[in-house]
Amino acid sequence: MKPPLKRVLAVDDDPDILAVVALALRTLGGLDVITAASGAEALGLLGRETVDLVLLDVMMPGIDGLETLAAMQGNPALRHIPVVLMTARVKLYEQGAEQPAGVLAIIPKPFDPVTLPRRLQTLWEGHAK
Amino acid sequence: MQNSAAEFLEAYRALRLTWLARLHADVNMLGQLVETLKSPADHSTKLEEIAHIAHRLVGNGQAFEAPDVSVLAREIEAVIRTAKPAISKRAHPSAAALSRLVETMAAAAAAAQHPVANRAEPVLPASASGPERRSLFVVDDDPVVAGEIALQLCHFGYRVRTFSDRRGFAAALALDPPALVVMDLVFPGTSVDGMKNLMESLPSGEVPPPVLFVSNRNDFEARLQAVRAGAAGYFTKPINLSALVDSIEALTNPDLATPLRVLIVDDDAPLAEAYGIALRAAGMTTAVVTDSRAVLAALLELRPDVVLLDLYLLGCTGEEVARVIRSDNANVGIPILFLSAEYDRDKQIDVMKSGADDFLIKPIAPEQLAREFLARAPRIRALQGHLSSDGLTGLLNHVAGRAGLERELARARRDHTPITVAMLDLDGFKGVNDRHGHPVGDRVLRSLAWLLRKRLRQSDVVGRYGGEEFLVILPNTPMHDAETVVDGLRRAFAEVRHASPKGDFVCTFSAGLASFPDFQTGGRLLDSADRALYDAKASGRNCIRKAQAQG
Repeated sequence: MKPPLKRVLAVDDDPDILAVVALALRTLGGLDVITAASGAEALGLLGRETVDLVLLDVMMPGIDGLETLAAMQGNPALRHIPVVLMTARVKLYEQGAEQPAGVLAIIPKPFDPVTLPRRLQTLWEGHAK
Repeated sequence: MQNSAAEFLEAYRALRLTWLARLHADVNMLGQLVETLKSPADHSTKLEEIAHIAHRLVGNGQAFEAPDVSVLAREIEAVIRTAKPAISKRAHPSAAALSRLVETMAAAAAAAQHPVANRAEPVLPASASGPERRSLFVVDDDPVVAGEIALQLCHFGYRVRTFSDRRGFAAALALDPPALVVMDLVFPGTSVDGMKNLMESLPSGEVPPPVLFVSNRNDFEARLQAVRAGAAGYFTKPINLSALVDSIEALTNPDLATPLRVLIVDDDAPLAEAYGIALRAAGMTTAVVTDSRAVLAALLELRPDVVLLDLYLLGCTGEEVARVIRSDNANVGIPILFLSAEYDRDKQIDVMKSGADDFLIKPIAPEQLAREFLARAPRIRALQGHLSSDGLTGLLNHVAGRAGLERELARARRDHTPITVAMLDLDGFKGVNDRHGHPVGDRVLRSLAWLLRKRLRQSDVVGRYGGEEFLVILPNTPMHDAETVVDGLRRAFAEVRHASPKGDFVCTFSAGLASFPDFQTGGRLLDSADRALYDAKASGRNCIRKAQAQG
């Protein structure tokens, strides 16, 4: 059995979403959360912090979510970290389309922040198997 | 983490207030930007700015409990995406449409200042990717029986391996443990206890997979044996496959199972909201009603599996509300849990007479409440299943199917959406029973039930209406689309080969379709679909016919 999910990096350029996501993960999920407001900041953080999972918004200015993901995949030190994408453009990935490598799941936006901690925990447990 | 819901709620409120202020500014900004579209200019950067703000509001409108804002923002995005290229010498062609949307959003933003107490969260799948094929072991000393069970489980997308001897099973269990084991209670070469030891001797302290026992025996001793061996379920042969699959689904994928829907009735709004958050965080769907007069509407909307009712409410007592709920026959089966500071057993018994099912003592921490519900959930689910499902197929029974139709009709009238009802009837089913015997006939009924459940949407209502007649309700589906769907089912079912000692055979069905609003009441829809079904039968069977609206 893999240890439970403990530490998460949440990445979103929208400060309101980021705040409520971090709040839900901390209080309801009992998780340790670090946040980044951009792909560049996320990659910087990942260089010096250890996290179990990255929760990543797709649509961001600058280095967007998919580019951040690609950079993680290209870095042997980060490749193993599972990524959960958040996007309003779920249609892109529905039915048949391959999920990008390293992606555990795609959570369609908008979503209910209250249910997010449990979903991440479930995905994490499924990933452990 | 005892008070995590309360802690969340407090901080969330503060965040929401800040967001509301920003929303106000955003809507003003949108108004100004849209205003500039009305005069001739190069509009492209303005449109981009509008799209950017709208995109942000789609996400956080939902996160901050202003779903209307989210929906309107999405509409604005859609308008801009499909907007014709602007001609800078004129007003932008979409200016008027955008202006209306922003006005509506301003109203929605104002309404969001007062949080809505009563709402049901939309339930999204845990992942956008499909459920992965889960691996099952089927263990039976008779390889033919094991193979038969395995074959049928394969239809549901499981990856199944069969075992008829202990050694192979033990080896595979250690090497690549499955998500679940289906096992004959009497297994040669080992006792039930031996099996239990085997399961518990997994390497590296892994949690053993749940075991469902199947057996020819239905006596207390056999069932006790299974319970002592840690059975997660017990099925007598011949196995009711839809019930078995239900158990497998519930055990291997609790998150994909429909979440428990809870209606919370409490006039203490902050408390009720904290309860709601704790239950949702634990994976349930909730609606909160703080005004008891809204209970009936909420019952119709949420279709709760269970109602949590405070004993003392403003205006009327919880007992009275319980009686009102129970006074509608459709609600007789919904469990009602009372929340009360009442320790007095006599008083509690009085309240039980009004139709309460259980008591929870206040004060109770929201997280504790969530645990109480989770503990009761399987029982609530099982009871509800028995009340509303058809024993042979696991589909809704006649009464529940009719109730489902009325519910969907109420929703369709309110939302102005179409519904199509299909009546399906197996062709020449009597002949199948006569020639192949009733067990084979039952299997045909079940295979159609599986096909319907598998191929239709979660939101579609599927019931067994009578002997070999099935009722399918397709909400939000006009006749034309329904025809395509049902015809697809018809063709798929006609391909299924049914096994029989007297030789494999195929079976077809005919269907009659009728749509709302062509037919306005449940009774008319069913009658018309039935008449169309009769037409289909008269036209040679294995086909579908539509009921035409009169006049």
